[in-house]
Amino acid sequence: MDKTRTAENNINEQDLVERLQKGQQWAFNILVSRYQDRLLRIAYGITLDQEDSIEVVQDVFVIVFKKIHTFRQDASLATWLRKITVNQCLNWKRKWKRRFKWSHDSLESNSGKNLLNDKNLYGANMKNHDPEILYQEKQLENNLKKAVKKLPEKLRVVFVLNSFEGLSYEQIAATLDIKKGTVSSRLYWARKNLMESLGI
Amino acid sequence: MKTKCSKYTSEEISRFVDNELFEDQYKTLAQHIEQCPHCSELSNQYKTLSTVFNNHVHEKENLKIDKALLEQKFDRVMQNHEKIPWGNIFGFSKKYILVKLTSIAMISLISLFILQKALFTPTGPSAIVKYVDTDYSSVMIIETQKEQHTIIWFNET
Repeated sequence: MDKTRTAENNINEQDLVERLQKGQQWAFNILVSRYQDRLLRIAYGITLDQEDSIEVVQDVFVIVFKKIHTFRQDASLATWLRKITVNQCLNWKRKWKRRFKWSHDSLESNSGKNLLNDKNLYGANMKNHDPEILYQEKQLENNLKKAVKKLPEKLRVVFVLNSFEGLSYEQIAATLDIKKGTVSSRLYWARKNLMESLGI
Repeated sequence: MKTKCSKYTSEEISRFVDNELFEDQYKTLAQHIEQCPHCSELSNQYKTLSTVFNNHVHEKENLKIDKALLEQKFDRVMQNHEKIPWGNIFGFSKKYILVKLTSIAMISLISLFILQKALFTPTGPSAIVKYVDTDYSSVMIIETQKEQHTIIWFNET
């Protein structure tokens, strides 16, 4: 177990890719433990469904398993995985959109402005244990989740990559094959839509 | 779109939050934000949106891959791939497969054409020396290619 952990920490990306290309099973285990959290966050941010995001990321790893020999290391492994995850999420959503329509979620009354401006929330006191503040934080989180759900797909993907991965506009542009200026405007519109949904 | 402050647009504040302005623009806007409550508020709201959403996702403790299920999927893929990986034989990837196949077909055709000429062309006469054709018979005098023998060909009709 310890040996595996050490190997997991020591192996560099190039080495990992070479081992993956040789089809070594333990290299795939390392790949999964190393990247699953990041990919799951992206997938959850886009699908906003826990089970869907797990399914999507499982499929991502299967795709990587099948296609690793085509990976030429022009970009980093993380970039490649991120790209596959985003595409899978979008395909997944398209597939399900045909069967179901999104259910309408109304925002709770005390939704936006006050909570977002409250300096006690997510400000200096990140580890606040005041039940009132914790409740308000939860409320804001839920409302924001509903607001994100209402975002058009293109805006949501950009917002997720920016918020979770902290990617620069250039990196987001490369991931989505769009222009840097498009990233800038989509991100701005995403924020504007979210603020409007939250009643700000 | 302008903010309540007329000096900067919301899009500029958005780019400022993401550190995507040129250095001098960034410095100027940073100084402005210290004094302008509207731009400062908007900038904080933009930052908080990302923080809250990030926090929401980080709290999802059950967001984990089922490794056993994933291994089953890998095994299934392996079973399917145990068929000969035609795609990779001789480093022949499936990319541009049509172009590659067309090239091979063209090369084969040209080779066949050249070979056919070299191997199967009959070593016939180099020249017909004389040819006579009447109502009753035909006579042809031919000289062979290598040995230069003379052949007299006669045909009675």
